[in-house]
Amino acid sequence: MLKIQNTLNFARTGRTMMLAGAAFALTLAAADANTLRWARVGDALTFDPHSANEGPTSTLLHHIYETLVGRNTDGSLAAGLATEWSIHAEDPTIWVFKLREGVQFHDGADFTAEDVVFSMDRARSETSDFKGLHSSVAEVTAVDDYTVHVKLEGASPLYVQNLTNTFMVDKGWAEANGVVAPQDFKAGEENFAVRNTNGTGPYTVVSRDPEVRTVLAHFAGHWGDVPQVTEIIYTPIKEAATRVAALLSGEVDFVQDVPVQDIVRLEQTAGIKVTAGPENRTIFFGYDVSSEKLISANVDDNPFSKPQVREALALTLDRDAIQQVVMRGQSQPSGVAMPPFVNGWTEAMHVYSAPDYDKAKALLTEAGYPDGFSVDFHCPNDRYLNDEAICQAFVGMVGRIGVKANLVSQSRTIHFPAIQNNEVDFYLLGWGVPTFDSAYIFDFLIHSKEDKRGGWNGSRYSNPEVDAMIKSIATETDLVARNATVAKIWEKVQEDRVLLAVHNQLLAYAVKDGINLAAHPENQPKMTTVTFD
Amino acid sequence: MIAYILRRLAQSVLVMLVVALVSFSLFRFVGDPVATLMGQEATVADREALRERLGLNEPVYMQFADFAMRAVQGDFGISYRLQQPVAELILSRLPATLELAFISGIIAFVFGVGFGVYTALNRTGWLSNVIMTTSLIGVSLPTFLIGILLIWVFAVELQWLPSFGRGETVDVGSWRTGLLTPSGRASLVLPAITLGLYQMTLIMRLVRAEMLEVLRTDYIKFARARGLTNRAVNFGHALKNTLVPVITITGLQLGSIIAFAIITETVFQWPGVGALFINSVQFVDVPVMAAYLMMIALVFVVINLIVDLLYYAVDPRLRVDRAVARH
Amino acid sequence: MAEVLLSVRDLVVEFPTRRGVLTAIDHVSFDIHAGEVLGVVGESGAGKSLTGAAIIGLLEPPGRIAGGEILLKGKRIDNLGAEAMRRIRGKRIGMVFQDPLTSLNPLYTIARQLIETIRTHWDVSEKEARERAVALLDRVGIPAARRRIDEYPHHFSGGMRQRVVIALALAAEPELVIADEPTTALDVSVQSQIIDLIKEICAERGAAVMLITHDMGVIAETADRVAVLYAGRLVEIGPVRDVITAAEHPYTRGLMGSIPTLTQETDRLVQIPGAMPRLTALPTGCAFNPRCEQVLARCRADRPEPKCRGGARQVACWLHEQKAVDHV
Repeated sequence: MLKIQNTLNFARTGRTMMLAGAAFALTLAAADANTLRWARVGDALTFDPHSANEGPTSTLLHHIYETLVGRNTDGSLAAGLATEWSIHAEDPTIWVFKLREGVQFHDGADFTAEDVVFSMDRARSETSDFKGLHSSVAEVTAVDDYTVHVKLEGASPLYVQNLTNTFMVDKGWAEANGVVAPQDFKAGEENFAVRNTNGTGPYTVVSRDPEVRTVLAHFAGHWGDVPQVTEIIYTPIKEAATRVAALLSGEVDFVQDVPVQDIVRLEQTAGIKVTAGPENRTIFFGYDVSSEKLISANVDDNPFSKPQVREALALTLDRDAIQQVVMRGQSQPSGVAMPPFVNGWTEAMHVYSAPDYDKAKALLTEAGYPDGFSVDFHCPNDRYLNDEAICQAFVGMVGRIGVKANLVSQSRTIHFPAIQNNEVDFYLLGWGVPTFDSAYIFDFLIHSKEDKRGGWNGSRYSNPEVDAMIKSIATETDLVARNATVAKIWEKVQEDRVLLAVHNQLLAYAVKDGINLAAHPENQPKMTTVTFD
Repeated sequence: MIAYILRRLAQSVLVMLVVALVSFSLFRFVGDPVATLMGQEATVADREALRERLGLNEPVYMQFADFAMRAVQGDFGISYRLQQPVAELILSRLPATLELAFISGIIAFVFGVGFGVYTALNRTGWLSNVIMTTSLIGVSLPTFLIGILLIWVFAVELQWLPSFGRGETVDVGSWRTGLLTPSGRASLVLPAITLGLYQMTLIMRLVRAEMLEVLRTDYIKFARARGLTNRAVNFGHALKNTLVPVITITGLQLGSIIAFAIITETVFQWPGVGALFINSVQFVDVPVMAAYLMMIALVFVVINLIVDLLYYAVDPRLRVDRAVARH
Repeated sequence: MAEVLLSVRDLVVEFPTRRGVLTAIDHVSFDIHAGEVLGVVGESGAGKSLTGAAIIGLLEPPGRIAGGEILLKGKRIDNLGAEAMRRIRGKRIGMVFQDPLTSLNPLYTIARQLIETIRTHWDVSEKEARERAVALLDRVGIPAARRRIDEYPHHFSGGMRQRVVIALALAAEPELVIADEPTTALDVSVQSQIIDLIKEICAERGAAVMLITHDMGVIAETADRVAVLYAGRLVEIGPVRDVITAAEHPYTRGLMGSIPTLTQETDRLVQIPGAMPRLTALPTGCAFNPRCEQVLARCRADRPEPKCRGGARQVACWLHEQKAVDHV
């Protein structure tokens, strides 16, 4: 680790010759007691805190910037820059945040309510990628230096759940550097905030070489306890086999994205420890349940619109086989398209039945397709764990009752727009629930397509009764009543078989022995929680 | 001569514009950049607004014209993915790729010519057979597999060399080089071998075939009959004649090395333009993809030009200007 | 008669092939005297070029000398090591090949090729070598040699190139020059000039010439003695005048008929019906017996060895054995 420190010294003393690049120690010696070398598949795209609502970006930024509220590893909310939050006693449309006092930005400026107002406005601006999470916000005001009111257009009992990735920036710094708004691609100029940071987070940026290496060091002025990890060396390694090799060769200490096929082997490797845990992401199959006629089917009507066909498909799905063969045990088969952390989840819905091909075939015949039918089956191949292999397995399963699914496997960049634009009949999709509430599933996947809802409703499911219930839970402040409605919606969704759930993804972290880090449900591990033995 | 080079360079601009045009008409098949640019919460209206802002709703030819107009002025826009100016991104990644390509090109050339000459001169030796057989295996294994294999042996098992990255680098002006530090050089070994192996085999087989051909020629027999030493005959006369066709192929291979460094760069997490490109494709980062493809076109055009000039320098028969029949 | 420069004794050259070993040169013996021109004639495949290659030590593998010896001024050279043999090539035995268009390395100037050759055999400076090279070119009749020496082979015509080749072969002043069909590839108009040049320049330097050709006309005009090869065997050898006027082997007589005259151009060897047998299918006895008009029963059974026929002549033919017996 001596070399690294040299690097830092060089950078700090500002010599003309700058040393940079991936650090590696060819010795097997454990990393410095307080340095953690962290590898994962991709790098943060930008350091602008409101420009990319994307997993790896938020994960890294959580170390530099902070949010009002955070997320514990069990999914519950944690105090961040806000120490208390509540719905205003007199006006249910106002959320009140009490801010932490004595917090400093890296440049020494104090963190106050006006920074929150500024940050919220920035996150809601036209070029922000987070504006969707705050579309119901009417106004953010500073009541005093450490109290902020967020006024919503209507009551929203779960709005606070939307804040876990909305970072706070310093108003003065942003204005001084002309980064009042996030990157505008049209402007043709790079935003200062893309490469420069000034957060309140536990670490400051020492050096940054995008997609090569980012070095973070503990920020002495941070309000929290001093973490055991005082230096982070973050290196993206895209190729799964190389990532694992780097861990085995001792060049990194922590691999965040462990390939499913390597988990068992790594568990058996001396000196390596694998921590697995459920991820907040569910995988399901969707199909067009409402069109008169399918785009790609060889029949003149829409088989998916018939309940018997949907039930038949469900009866062909052998979730256990997919778990064992495709996922090598690294998944949590589920009867409902919802991870267990989410508000609204029940054990009863989670239970799934074993496949029954005879019954499925009988149902298909009853629905009028004794010889089955053929349809295109769209699948992403670069988004979810083994996405394409899951689809291939399912093609074989439905084939047993005569449904010929023609697999169309494409990049997510083609797959996702096709779903959003109602261009596919039958598809695989995954869904994470950052708000940890069923409403997030209903809003995007179940509600009819309209302005702000139903954007990912590729099933084209449209039920006015359900829509009304979905709208009602957005403003229902009585949590008991609200949960009852959520349960009712789920009951209808399950009864109508809108989504054919496959499983919830598990995530696995591999670390060197002597390093302790729990799996984070949103796959946003925080190095402040790392402990060394 | 100067006029010839200028004419060729002018042609290259045309080639690059055509490449850009073709790229632009293909990009829509790669996917929709808006899908990756916005979080899943974005509404239809949000997506539409962004699409409008990025000019993605314009017809392809308008997008191309806009791109070409700005590209001519050296402005390739801002990367959708990394939010940095594309020209700067590519220039910052180019040294890594060029160093890798150059070193692996040298490895491929030196060992390719060396092994090729050796196997041609010792057609029946056991070592020749070993080289030929090994090269056959080398050429039939995919680059990806070779890379992983090398990582496994030299990084994981033996722990002699790093498994990824570029090691420590030093900035010489705006050129970030890994050649000046021990770790930088160590990091270069495995990727350079991986990238150069296929080309080495190709050059070796080409050299061997050409050399065997040349060794059968009358001027080689005559050179031997004049009592010239084996060294002079094999390396002075035979090798130079062998290299004439080899230069063309090797030169063009250098272009391929740069263009096909993508896989090697991905396997070794080598921060070059190839890795940048493949990440850009997955993100549908149109500005980067367009600029990269134009750069590759430029590389091929320039290499072609250099090969032509080299060819001209090596083979006197091509210097037509002097060859006005004088007998 | 001058001293024996080169002596070939019972030379056997074999080619191992998949179907067995081919004997391409079968117990051939002859001498070349210092300063003389020995013509070697025969059809394609008779073993003329192979004999030359064997002498200069450039048989192409898998061909190999399987028997006999080759002596240069009484010292064996057929069993020399590669390096020792290399030193003889060019320096003591030179060689001129058939095709001047392909005998020169196209990528190097004439100067470079000459200087390289001279400096391989003589310990002289670059400058000195260059002077010698210019003088040589001048001698072989290249006009403006000093200027043209820096040109590339493709700048020269075929005849000029063969002159350059001769200059190269003679650069280190060898005692013997093997000229393997030196004019076959050339324009008829320059053929005799080249032959004359070889003869002249060798005479001047006292070098012997082994002139390999299938053209009896060239032999008649140039050679002192002639050796006739057929199917890898020596059938007749003797002074040119004797052989031409009174060929004793039926094959040689056939060859004589092929000398073109001023009035008529005949096809080569048109007088002898049939073709030379392949080495894989040689008849027993005399190899020529299937084509011979005077074939005897013995010719089909036993192989005739070259026998001395008085003076410097030798003939391998049972016909004369028979006559000799008759005379007794």
